[in-house]
Amino acid sequence: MRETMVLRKNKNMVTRVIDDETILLPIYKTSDEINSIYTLNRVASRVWKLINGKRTLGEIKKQILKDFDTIPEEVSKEMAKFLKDLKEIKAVV
Amino acid sequence: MKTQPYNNFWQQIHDTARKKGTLLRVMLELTYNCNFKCKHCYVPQSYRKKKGELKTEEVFSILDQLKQIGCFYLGFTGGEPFVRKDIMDILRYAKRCGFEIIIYTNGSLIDEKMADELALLRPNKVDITIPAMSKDAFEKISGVSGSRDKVFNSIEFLHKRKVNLGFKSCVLKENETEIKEIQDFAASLGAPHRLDDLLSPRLDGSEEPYKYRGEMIKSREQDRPSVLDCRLSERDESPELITDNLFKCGVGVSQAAITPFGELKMCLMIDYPKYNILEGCLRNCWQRLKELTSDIKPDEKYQCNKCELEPYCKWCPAKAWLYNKTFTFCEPEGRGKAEQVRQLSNNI
Ligand SMILES: C[S@@+](CC[C@H](N)C(=O)[O-])C[C@H]1O[C@@H](n2cnc3c(N)ncnc32)[C@H](O)[C@@H]1O
Ligand code: SF4
Ligand code: SF4
Repeated sequence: MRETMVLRKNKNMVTRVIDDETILLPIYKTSDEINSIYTLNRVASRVWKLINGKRTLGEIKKQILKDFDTIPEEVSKEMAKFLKDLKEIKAVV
Repeated sequence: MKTQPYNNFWQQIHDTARKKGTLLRVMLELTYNCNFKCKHCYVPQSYRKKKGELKTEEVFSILDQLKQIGCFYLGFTGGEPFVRKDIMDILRYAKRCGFEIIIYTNGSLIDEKMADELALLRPNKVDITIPAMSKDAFEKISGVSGSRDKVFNSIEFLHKRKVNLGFKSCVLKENETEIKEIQDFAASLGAPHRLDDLLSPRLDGSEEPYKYRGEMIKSREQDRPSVLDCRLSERDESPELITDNLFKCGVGVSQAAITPFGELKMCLMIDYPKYNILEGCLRNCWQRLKELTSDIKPDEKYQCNKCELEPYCKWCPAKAWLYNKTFTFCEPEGRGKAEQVRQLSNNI
């Protein structure tokens, strides 16, 4: 994870809180066209909220460390995995 | 990030919504006005003259509140949703909120530009009513000359752009001999078709629509199996069969409707009670509606649990309500139809 990197959200993806779970879904698809629904845990949904095309990944990581009771190594690992997933489904550019 | 197939998700949110009482599915009547004049329409003429339908910003506010309380499936209906000048703004807003949407329409007002945008917005379905195939029958039903061509043009615009389509017809005197043709047309576009051969009274209780009902079962022997299909497909649309509840569709448990004046009600057909969302808030209105629905229990008039016709019957509490303002009454029109369907399935 490059901490100076800045990511932008794909405008065609939104999150919804359904049954206390945050899901990420493509909005311009019919339900027949959506194969999978992605569920975000608390850290991932906070990271998603913080991605705004301006904040660097380093700044987001700092914020996560403030918001959650966790250690830097854990956050780096979790964020790296989540960002890889997001890139794979083109949810961020 | 956990990934799950859409179908699992669909099942899971319906199960949880039912358990927790989340308002998951809503039918939103955007207006009672319409450019057609169908005589059988359940919306009374007097409703069309009422002032005070929701303004664009008020619709947006209701959509925001629906999103907040966990609603996921929205149906837009009316009247005719496309008579609203802001219809595309509303659909766009709803999609941006992350709702899955179906639009119920007579189809006549959808032009190429709108079809272009619908192709991008990708609603789950644009559900168009086809009253008839012939111009004569179509326009006798719609009461508007030129309406048939407009509707079939719109269907072409949408089909060309690969918008998901569904079709629906009521069996009326004017179209009773054309039902098979309508079904064949739908099949030729690979789209589902639903049939209502049991009209409802109007929202004000008037039974006038019954006068216009066609007699498909008697007149078109070759179409009989599709009459049975139509019942099955209706059940398909309501995943929430709650067998120990009077309302088998999920009304008051995870589903409700909203009027063009911003009032929450049980379903499209049950026009009382209505809770004004703009005066209170959606969350409170939903709580009140749930409490009210759970208090409605089978009473001494309720016979369906012992009735042999039950498997063939399309009864629902809304029909009973429209018929005589109780939720449990065995409505004679529905009973007659159930008897016909039973006879029919015994003969097949
Ligand atoms: C009230 S319309 C609203 C949407 C749109 N204007 C349309 O015609 O599709 C919804 C559906 O209800 C059907 N309908 C109208 N009056 C009815 C009645 N009395 N009983 C059952 N269905 C009815 C219409 O044919 C239409 O398919
Ligand atoms: S088009 Fe729909 S709303 Fe309009 S009169 Fe006909 S059934 Fe009623
Ligand atoms: S025929 Fe009457 S009693 Fe029997 S299932 Fe239908 S509504 Fe209920």
